[in-house]
Amino acid sequence: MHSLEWPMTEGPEKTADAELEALSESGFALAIQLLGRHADAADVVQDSLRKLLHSGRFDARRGNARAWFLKVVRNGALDTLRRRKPHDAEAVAALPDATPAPDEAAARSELAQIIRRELDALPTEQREIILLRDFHDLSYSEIAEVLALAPGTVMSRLHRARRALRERMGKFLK
Amino acid sequence: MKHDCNETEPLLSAHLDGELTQGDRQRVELILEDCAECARAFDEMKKLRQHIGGIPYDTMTEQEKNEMNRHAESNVGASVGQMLFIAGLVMVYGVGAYLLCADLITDAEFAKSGEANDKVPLFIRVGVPALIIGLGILFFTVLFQRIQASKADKYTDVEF
Ligand SMILES: [Zn+2]
Repeated sequence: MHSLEWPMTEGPEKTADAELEALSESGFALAIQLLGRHADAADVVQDSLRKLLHSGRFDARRGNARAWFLKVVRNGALDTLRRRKPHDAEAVAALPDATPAPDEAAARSELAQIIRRELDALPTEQREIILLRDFHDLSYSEIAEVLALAPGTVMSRLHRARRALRERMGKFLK
Repeated sequence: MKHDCNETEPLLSAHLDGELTQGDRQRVELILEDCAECARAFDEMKKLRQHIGGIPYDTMTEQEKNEMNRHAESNVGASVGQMLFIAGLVMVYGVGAYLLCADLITDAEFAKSGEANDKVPLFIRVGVPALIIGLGILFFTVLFQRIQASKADKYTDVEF
């Protein structure tokens, strides 16, 4: 069916296609979390996919290229952030879109919306480490890889970021 | 268990993530059993973690997914094409150059016939192989430098 399955052979569980799609989806989530703006996130993921395939690193049989891919996405997103003009009002406005819509989905996840708003208000450095752990479910060693940190520093950084978030959340957590 | 709540907090965070050594884990479990403040901090972190996993962030549209797929395919196609092209080039150039140079250097025609007409002047016997080999070295050096440059992207040097 898909030309992508060549020259990679199919893994026992996941095809190369499914694996690539899963990678793109986590990459896009991280890009949105860092950039806020949909089109920018799509650009970064597209670019990262190109790098992934070009590097020859993608191998469906070997599985988890996720930490590596997220690292590429994260670096791409940070480049985009740096290129943004400081007064890029549109991007800033697009970031915390946390006004709860008055429907049942919003009611169900009201706390999640508040958390999202407070996460978006954190410095990128704190937001990303919390999301890599709690949203993307990476281990400390994977987080160290994505953020290019010494493995021993992940625990304390993550803890500081979590404390900052808890302080911002205040009464909502009680 | 005697402890400083503030100093224990980083351990609580790591405990939530299952990243503690067995010794620390047992210590933290004991603390959680009899310190209300630590237990509360732990519950808050746990609650945050659970809700963060469920935040409905934007996802890619179907159109974006398709576009990315197409892009990825053309990329794989391009690198396969590039590989075949280089392999073919190395073979044709290499074998062709070898045959031509071998004949010239040994002056094969003259050696066979012994006729003065077939004798190739020395400057051609040396000059042409030098040109061909030199051109080959130049071309492949540039080619491989370019390939290296495109591969040595600043993100691709990460080890697994
Ligand atoms: Zn305590």
